[in-house]
Amino acid sequence: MNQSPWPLRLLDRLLPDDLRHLAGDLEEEYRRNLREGDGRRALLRLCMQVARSLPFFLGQTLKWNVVMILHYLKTGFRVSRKHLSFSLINVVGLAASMAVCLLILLFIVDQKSYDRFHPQSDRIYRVVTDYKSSSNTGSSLYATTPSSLARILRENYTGVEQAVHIRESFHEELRYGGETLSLGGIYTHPEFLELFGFELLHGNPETALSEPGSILLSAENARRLFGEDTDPVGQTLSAIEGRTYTVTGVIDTDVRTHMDFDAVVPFSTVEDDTGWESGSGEWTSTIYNSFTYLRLAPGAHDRLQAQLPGLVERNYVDSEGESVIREMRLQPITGIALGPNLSNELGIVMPGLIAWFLAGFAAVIILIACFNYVSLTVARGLTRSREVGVRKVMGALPSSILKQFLVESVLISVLALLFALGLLNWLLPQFNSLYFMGMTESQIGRDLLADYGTYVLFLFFSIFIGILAGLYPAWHFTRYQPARVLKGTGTGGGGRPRQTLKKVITVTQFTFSIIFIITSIVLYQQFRYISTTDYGFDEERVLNVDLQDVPYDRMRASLLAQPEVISVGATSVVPALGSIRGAWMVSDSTGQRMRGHHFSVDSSFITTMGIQLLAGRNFNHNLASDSLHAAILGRSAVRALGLQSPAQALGASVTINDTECTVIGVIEDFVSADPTRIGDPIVLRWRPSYFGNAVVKVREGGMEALNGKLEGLWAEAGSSYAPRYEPFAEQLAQSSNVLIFRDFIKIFGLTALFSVLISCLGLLGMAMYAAENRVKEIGIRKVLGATRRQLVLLLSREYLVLIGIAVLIGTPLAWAANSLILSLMSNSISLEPVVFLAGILATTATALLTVTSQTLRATRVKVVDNLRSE
Amino acid sequence: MDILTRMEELLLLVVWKLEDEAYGLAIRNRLNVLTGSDHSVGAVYTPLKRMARRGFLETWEGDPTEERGGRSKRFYKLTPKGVHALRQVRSLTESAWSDLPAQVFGLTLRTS
Repeated sequence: MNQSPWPLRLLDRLLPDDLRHLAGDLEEEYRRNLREGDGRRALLRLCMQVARSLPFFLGQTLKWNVVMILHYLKTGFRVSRKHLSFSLINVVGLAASMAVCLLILLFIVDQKSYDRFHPQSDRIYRVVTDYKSSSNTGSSLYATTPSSLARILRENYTGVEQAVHIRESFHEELRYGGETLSLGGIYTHPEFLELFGFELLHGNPETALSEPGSILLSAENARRLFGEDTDPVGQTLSAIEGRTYTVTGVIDTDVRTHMDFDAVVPFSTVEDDTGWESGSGEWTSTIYNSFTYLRLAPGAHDRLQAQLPGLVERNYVDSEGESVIREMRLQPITGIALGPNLSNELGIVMPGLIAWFLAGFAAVIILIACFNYVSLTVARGLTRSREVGVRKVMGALPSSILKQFLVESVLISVLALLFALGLLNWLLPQFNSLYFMGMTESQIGRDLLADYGTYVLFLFFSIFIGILAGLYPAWHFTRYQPARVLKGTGTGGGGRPRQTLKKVITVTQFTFSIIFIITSIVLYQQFRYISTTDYGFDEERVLNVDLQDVPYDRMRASLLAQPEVISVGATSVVPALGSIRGAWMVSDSTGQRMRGHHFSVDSSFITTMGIQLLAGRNFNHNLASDSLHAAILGRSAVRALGLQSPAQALGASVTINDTECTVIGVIEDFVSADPTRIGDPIVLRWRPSYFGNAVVKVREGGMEALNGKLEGLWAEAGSSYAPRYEPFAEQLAQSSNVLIFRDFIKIFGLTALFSVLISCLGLLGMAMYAAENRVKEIGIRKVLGATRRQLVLLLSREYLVLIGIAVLIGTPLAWAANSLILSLMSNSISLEPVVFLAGILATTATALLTVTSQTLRATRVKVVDNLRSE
Repeated sequence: MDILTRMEELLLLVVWKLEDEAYGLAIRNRLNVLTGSDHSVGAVYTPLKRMARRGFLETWEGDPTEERGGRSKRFYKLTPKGVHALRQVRSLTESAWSDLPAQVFGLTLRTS
């Protein structure tokens, strides 16, 4: 027999049975045409006919479904009202977890909207490179490129419509009237304003970057210098070195972009000043701060990417003719935010890893809430089975039962969305105040909440969640066998699997809860530990002064003249604030090159900071050789270099960055990078030219007085910069690693809280339902003399066992996960069983409290009322 | 009084003329011949269904045939109410056409 042509088979699928005769008409006509002429024309005419009638067909299908869906909605509402407590449990659980998901969704949507405001943003790319160097021996990508790349691409490659070179090396203190501003910005070419979508609030984009000495200020800085609502175009700013800049415009940087700059200056300025040409010369010296952005012709991406290896071979080779760039790649500009982690970004970019991490948490929480829906709905199967049975007897297809239950779950989930939106309003500011959000200047804008597209997304999301939650229960009900259901001999769907499912769900939920709770406690403990950690130096009453352009000796003399000051030391880098200078170290005993943390200090640094000298001596100002070949090692460095004990290390020879040094002393380790790390190999050397900070030890109670005097002292020192000083203790408390750690704890804590609460909600529902179903049994037991304690135990025993299993599974997993987390930090607490006990107890207690609240209620009812109804 | 649209009027007449052979495709073909333009399935089915609901037409399903891919035909037949509606429309049209002034735009209309 001939098969119907495909458009008709499609129609058969689409059309309700009521309209099958229309497809029949079409087929008859098609066959008639087929007999008269060739098949192609017949098919074409059929397609035309279907296409013309499609609006009508769609309307009919929709109408039919809408009628049914309205009916299902009605039953859904009735069921929800009848079982109000269950619906409430589901709605509350889904709402709480959905709020978290919406937040993460907003976060991702916000990040994904970055850099879409440029014209043809889908064709703008950034070139990223894997540049070989002594510090990049593996393969890590840099966001930067050789400075000549933009010119080479523009001149020699077709398909490159525009190529712009940006160098992030503009740093100036600019003065206007009495105001001084320290600005960091970029050098670039006039095409910058054509390639990117940045708008000028004042000034002419055609000419803004064409004259040497022009400067575009960001709106914020223009406001700070010139005040609100003034047009600063044409004003002159003077820089420290006597150079002047003319403001040619104000650039709107308040847009969603990965770039971060305060000012834009044309390359012609530096070419004009120093003869330093932007696109050529010794490109290796600027490879870490030169960026190349391109706009390609449509479809040119693949071809250009294929040409890049050849370009590298022709242009970027070392003296032996070997290319120094392992790989060069085009990265779409819209894929920078939430993209891979690259070194030397132009601004701080939110890495994609964070989004995955957050999305993972949100997924776990929403899954726990969906589990609640599944177990509660399936558990109530007994109540609903009659309805399903009758529907089936009346001729409902399995698909319509499926649809009915899906409509119900979507209804619950859309209801939950309404509550979730309220919760979202509360969560959003909390999330925005997290440190990593502030650090990357990526606040989720309120403008997203004013956009109807967001709500469409939310609606789709909640419908998706509704289907996800409802799919299993719906499928479960379609398997009911009406005959057995209506006869009252069970559901025909199998009673045992249902019980197993319920148990598996409860166990899974509580396993997650236990893992999250324990991890939160461990992380919190670890946080407490690192914030009270012994830094190995005394940071109390220490003031750090950033020397900037003031010679250390002058600053030291004027500080020591103050009665509040006990001593003053110098260091190149302030330790424990997250940034370090590295040094390669080799000793004769191991011969192994290893990386150490390098500090250039004077002799008073050790005494001022109260660092303990274990062996040998401090630097001696009277020994000139100390400033060249002397090194003081930390205890761990001694061990890592294979020099045995501190005493034996004295006099040993160690090569530090190709300089031969003699160990003159050994100190106790101090926290050099950040408080999560301890025991890093430390090396101190006395190199006055590297001094960048003065550490000032202040007398008891003298901090305030000195703070007041510093402005004056700084002015006397004749610096052209604004003073920068802060108490060390405050700097440590505000250091970025500590604050990011706090973010971690907040996120984990919230996840733990939500997962426990939602799991307990599910348990509450289960216990309620079980108690309701066993009311008669309880009555009879009571009549026969069971005590209340026995009854509570009887009803709670099952849950105790389930939570016990969850503890058995969750505890080892939590142990493994936390060992892994802690092993990433060298300065960490050891895992204590007491923490695990606390986590388990907290979870179990909450769960049992939930269960007993229901079982107690069940045992309290009057027996007479229960049994009389029969 | 129910006023039929021109499309409805034409359809009812076609159903009447086709007698026992008034099903979807035949109706549409006849209509196409009558008006000289190609009507889509939806354009024919929608008014037919509307008139069935208003009681001008009665419908029944024929037997499925292989030529139609195993789908049945839906036949239509005029009800007395339908005939009445057609008559009404006709008399309405005729009375509306009568008593027209003889001249319009300088042309002489021939009224029968």
